Amino acid sequence: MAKASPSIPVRLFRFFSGFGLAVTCLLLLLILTWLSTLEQPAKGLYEVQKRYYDAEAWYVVPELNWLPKINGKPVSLPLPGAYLVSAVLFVNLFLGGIIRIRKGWRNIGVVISHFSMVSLLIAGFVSHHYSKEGIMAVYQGDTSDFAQSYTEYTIEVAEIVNGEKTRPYVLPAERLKSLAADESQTFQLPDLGLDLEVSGWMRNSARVKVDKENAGQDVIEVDGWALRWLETNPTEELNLAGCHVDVITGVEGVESKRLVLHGGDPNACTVTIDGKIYGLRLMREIWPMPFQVRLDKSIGEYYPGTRKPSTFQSDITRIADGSEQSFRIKMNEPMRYGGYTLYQARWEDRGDRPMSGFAIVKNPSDQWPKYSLYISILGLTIHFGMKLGGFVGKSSKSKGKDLTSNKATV
Amino acid sequence: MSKEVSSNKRSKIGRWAAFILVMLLLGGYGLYTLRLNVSSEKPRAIDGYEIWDADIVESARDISLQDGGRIKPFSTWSGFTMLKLHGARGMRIEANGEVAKISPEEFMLDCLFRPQLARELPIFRIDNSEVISSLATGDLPEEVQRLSGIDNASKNEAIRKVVKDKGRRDRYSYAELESIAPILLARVQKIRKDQPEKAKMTSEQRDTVDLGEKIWMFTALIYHMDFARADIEVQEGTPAMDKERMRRMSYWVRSFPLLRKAVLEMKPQGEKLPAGIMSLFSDLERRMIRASEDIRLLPPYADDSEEWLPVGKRIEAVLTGKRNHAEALVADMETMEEMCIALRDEGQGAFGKQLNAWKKSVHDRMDPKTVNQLGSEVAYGKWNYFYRALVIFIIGFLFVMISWLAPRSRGGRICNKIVGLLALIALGLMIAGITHRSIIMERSPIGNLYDTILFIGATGVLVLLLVELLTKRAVALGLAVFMGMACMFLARRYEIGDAKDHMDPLVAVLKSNFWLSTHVVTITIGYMGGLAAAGLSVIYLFARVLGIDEGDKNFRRAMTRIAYGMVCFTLFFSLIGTVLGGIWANDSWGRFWGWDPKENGALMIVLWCLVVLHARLAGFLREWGIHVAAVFGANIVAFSWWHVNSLSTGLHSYGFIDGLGIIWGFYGLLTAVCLMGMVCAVLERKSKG
Amino acid sequence: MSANSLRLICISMLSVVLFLSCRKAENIVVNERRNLVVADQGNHSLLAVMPPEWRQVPSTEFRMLNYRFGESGEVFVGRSRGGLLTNINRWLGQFGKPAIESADDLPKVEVLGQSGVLVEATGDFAGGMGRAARKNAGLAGVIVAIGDQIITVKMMGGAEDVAAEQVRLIKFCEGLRISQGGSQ
Repeated sequence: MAKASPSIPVRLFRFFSGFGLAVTCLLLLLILTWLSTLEQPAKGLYEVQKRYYDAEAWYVVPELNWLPKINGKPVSLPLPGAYLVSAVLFVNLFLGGIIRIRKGWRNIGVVISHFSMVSLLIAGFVSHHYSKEGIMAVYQGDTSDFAQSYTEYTIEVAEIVNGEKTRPYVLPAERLKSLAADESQTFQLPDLGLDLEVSGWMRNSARVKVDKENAGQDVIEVDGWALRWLETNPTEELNLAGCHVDVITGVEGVESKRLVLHGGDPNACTVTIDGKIYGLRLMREIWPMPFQVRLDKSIGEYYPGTRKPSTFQSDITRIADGSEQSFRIKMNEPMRYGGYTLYQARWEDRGDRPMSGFAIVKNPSDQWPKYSLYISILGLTIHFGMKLGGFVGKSSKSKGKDLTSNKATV
Repeated sequence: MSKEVSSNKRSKIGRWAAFILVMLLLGGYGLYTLRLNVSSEKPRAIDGYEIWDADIVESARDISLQDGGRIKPFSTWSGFTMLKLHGARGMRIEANGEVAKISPEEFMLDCLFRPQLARELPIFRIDNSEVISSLATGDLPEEVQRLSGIDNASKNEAIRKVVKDKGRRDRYSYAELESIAPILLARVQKIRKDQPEKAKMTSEQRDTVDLGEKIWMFTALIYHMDFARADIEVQEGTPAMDKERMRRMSYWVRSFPLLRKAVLEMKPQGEKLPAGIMSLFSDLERRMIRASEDIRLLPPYADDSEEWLPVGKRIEAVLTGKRNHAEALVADMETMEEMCIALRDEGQGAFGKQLNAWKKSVHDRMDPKTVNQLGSEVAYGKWNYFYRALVIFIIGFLFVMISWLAPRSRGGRICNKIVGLLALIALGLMIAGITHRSIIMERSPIGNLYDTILFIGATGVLVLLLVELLTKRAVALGLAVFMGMACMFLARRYEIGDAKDHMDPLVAVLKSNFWLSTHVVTITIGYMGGLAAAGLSVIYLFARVLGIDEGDKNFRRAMTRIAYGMVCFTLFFSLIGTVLGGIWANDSWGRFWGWDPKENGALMIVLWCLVVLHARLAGFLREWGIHVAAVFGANIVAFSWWHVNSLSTGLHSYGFIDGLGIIWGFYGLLTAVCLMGMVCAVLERKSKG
Repeated sequence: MSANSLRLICISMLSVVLFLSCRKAENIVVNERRNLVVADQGNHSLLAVMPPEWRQVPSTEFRMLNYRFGESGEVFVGRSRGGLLTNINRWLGQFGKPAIESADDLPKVEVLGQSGVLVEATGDFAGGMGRAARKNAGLAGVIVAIGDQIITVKMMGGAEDVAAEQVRLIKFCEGLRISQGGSQ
């Protein structure tokens, strides 16, 4: 009697838990990792991460300029993005490596190892979506209470009252960075009664002085300044964004005011609307901290007679909820507090006042990889230990046999 | 019976084929590297060259100095300096009709104390005389013409003179290049201005810049001790109190305030000083500047300072008013002057005595523990662990190849026993060397790319010898010897090419013995495993293709199990090492994974091992496939271990290397082996079915 | 799996992909505000209250605080060296005016607790410091010595524009403060 063909859910389960999918995903990840590494020197890490590893990158077309061209065109090979492949691998690992796999003493090590990999992927997922990082630069003796993003730009709008800034409104960075040069996007700020139309976004630019009379037709000049487009630097931290902002009020007869904003500007540009002063600034996102950090002592040592750093360390006082606590932060020895981790990332000798740069990271899955590691060591040791034991046992048995036979040696 | 005979015959042919193939490959490569490094020309005759006494050389070895951030012995410093300048740690010359080999210590003693002879030594190896001839193109900048006295017209004549009678590849002494040195250095400045990044220069530009840097380094050495030569000319008109002592710079440093006062009294402010005084001042200044180069022979005078300032900088401090250690400095200068005077007036015997006196005076000021470490490091250099291991491995490998020809014979078995013994001795030397290094550096054994080569060699040999113990087929044994030989050879090549002291202290971010001992060691063992697996599989493939294994299914199955086991070993260490690396990165930089090239390389090895494992479990890969895959895995290891360093981006950029040529050759060779395996597998299946 | 259900699945997947990758063209409403941090106090130790009629533009190496008004008027605060008189005469020289021997006769303005002087000039501006020459230009500025430093508040523009802004300029100068615990 013919066997009934398996139902669709069963077929799907077999497919998603099968070796074929596992091998395919692993191979794809390998190729993606390799190609992204080759692109890094030219494109920079930021760009490569965006194209290959971001959650939004469903697919990627790697740059294969080093392959011979076909019909004068470079080879185009679209591949699924690494995030997508990892997601599929995660499903496969769980369904195949933990659920479907035969359980027993022989396989216990493998199951444990698969479990550790699943937890590692979960840690990666959490880190990708929920972690945040920035840099806090403090001079010795000063206090800081914020970090700034390395790469994400935002526009802040704040009303200035009696020379003092009020809490600023922050435009979403993800939308800004996705703006094309010829695109414009309107942001409504109903609380202020203003609209901001952002246009002419440049990922890297310079602020240049222009003569109003001699400025070209298509150069947008404001108060003698304009933006010049610059080639994107592979090191994203060095790119200074620029854009034009039209501040539009809802009031009849009031013209919109145009501003030229540049990421390298040390202060805001203002517009006055209806007697109120608004400051606008294009800057790296500011991330306020729930505590203050006072840099008591900043030490940077170099090996004698060289410029090779020997130690960078900072003695800080953390001030939170009215209480103070001292810490020492060194390279490889960060400070962890309340879900935030502070790392000694930079040190600069600014003459009489050295400066420490702290990388601040908030990552819910900060310590999870450590646990995954312990589990994987356990699993792999059990599994390979058993295999090795078996091999050694077999070898010593066959040693006795081989002394009599004429076995081949090389 | 006839089947056995024919497979025996096929096996014999196969063995001879393998033997000849390996001889050609290794022999060819060996000759190629020898040709690069050894000049076939006759040793240059140096007039008046007197070989240094063995006692002086021995005594000089543990003279202490500070370089690269640590205190090291003279022998280490001179070794790496000679390597940088000359490309080798020895030089053959002819002195008094005899051929002599100059060691790095002797070379450095010549540079410091007998510069007139050092200039005649054929130090600079120029591989392409175009580097010199091309200096003729373009005009010389005005300032260079003015300072050097060479104008555009005489420039070309001077250049032609230098390359006359020289081969395309030849060695030059400083004396031969001196006349065109200003032209060369002007060209180097121009190149650097046009293209500041060395990686983006053309090879000719890079060669020119390299030569310029070497000449600069050499001149810094030969002029450094000018402050101590006690040959200052005191002209007429200078108030002279002690003509003999006035030839010494220490005299002038001691009495500088008096001299200044006397000069001011002689000529009130505003008027020009007499020519004699002017030339004295400019002479003193020149010597001081020359002594300010980065050669640090004197320990600090103040207890709270760690930096060994160059003598010139100390002189400058004293002359500009900071007189708190003037007496100590003058005493040191006098001691060094005594050395130079002794050598000039009395010869090597007296020089040796003064050298010892000076060395002792410095050692007495140092921490005794540091002085002992110097002795230990000198011993490390003398032991030359890795060179000796290389020689033993080469001998061992010759025995391995001989044993291939008749493995089951008594001779073959004796060869294998000899090989085993040699491998153990060489392994002992490698382990001793690595341990000694660790003790000197006071850190975990692996901290830079050079260290990884040594460690992979040692662990590879160890693991393969253990595999041999379990399997007793002489396969792992032969591979162990090959791997040891290859790694020791690679270590030497890399050291020569890099010419840096790899025992210098590590940058701040790497200074963690815990992580160095865990992450770095496991990852390196992972690399080793991948290479060992590939090696075992290469043997399998050739054994099968050339018929050496005589169709023995047991052998094939055993080899497959061993190779597969090695892949599992690689996975274990690579996976754990990679995750450890992520945890370290998290503690250091705030992110577990950054898609850095080095991290990616490690991940690629893990992924490849996983692919092989799962493909085998699924039945996609059988015997041929596993071995072909293992061989290909070595490409991935090479990419991760070496190739990513030249991509020079990311937080992991610790070891830069020039010369990707070897890597591409490696890829090509292994891919060819993979293709051979795949083709043979397909053919075999076709012939069966 | 029937062909129809397969087709349905493909179309829905495609729609999802297209929807997700489609750019949002509509307006975005911004309500998110952040708390103030120390950086919001400004880069310099100098705090100022700008009149609404001016607009602040990016500061430069020589202009700690930089403002514009009207079409081409500008006001900027900077640091200088040399004595009070040197700076006064430098400004007058830019307008082709003769140097003065004493600042006693100039109007006084209270700035940062010290007595500064008001310098005025009209005429042809000779140009300099990157600015073009200009006819019928006006200058009004306050120079004050604070410790061993000179602080200058300089207003330039058309002669009439400058005259019209003078009252605001003086009020601005009088309103300057040093921040407590700022950087630099």
